[in-house]
Amino acid sequence: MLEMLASPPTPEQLGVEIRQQEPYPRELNIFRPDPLDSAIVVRRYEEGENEFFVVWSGHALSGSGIVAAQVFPSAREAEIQAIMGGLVSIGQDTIADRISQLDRMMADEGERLDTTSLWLAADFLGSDHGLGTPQIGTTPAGEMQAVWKVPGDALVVMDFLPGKLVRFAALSTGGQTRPHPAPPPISGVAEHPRAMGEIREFLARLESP
Amino acid sequence: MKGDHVPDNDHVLRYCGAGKVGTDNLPMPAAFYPRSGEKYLSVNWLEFLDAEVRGAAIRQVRECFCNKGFGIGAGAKFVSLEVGAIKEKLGELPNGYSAVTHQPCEDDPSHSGIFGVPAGGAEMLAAAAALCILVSPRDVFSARE
Repeated sequence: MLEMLASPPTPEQLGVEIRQQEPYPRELNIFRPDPLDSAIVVRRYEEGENEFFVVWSGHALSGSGIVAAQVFPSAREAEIQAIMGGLVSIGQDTIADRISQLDRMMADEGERLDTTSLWLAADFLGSDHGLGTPQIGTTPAGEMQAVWKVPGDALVVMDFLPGKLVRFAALSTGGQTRPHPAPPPISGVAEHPRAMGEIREFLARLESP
Repeated sequence: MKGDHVPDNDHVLRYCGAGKVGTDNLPMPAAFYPRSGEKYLSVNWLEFLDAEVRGAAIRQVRECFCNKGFGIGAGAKFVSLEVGAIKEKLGELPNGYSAVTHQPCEDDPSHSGIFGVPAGGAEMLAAAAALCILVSPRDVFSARE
């Protein structure tokens, strides 16, 4: 169900009560720099004993200056749809499709996508990280994993963990003959700005010692 | 027998769930992560199955999975790795140690284990990524018939 509204209604207008409950409201800032365009927000509402979740999207998503909303009975479905919608709206349709595919495949194998990890991954993948389009998969714990095969024979891997941390590694695949030895592999756990700093340093050393 | 070292020239087969295989049909490092509580990476010793062709050995492994009640997901793959290459690659890591030994069980006689992949942390990812780059497309097989 998609309702086109001029602005998000107040709880009184909806006839429901909104109680803050961690981790809601939850925002995904895909767009920059206009904050009006930026937010895709998942809010939790209560109506009597029922709860439901609404994904509110800024006008960059609907493209018409109207705030759009979608209602979901479950938090998980709302969050996954919010993230996929955000990625599609910035042209990352391939990644959005892959997330949908992974969700189905994991359910098929009795595993479950960790939506906290998915939020972190989407936030990073939607940014201008400069590594190109990764392969996306999941760890046995349901965390998102992104793998880049960087031209120049490097493999870069990131696992998106709770606490806004990434587990990362970069190594030479040895697929290219070089006049100098490749730098030793790097790995660590850090927030992604620091991880990206170390990865960029590794890639620079790979190209010229 | 349990604990016997698998010869370096032999090969082991690793199951990679569909979510751990990229859209390029190659395994991702997550395919080589130990599950919680696992002391080694579970694999199957191909040459132990004494099949004349690799395809027949893989079919036997597939049957073992089914007999153990282990569901094989659509899109899942089996990946073949040479034991010597595994040990060399893991041995290059800091504190690198590895062994590949036979760990048979009643309903899975070729079951074996890769020891030396850490259970967590950045070291786990480093080891798994190192194994991942050993794999080429000719080493990958469909897990479902």
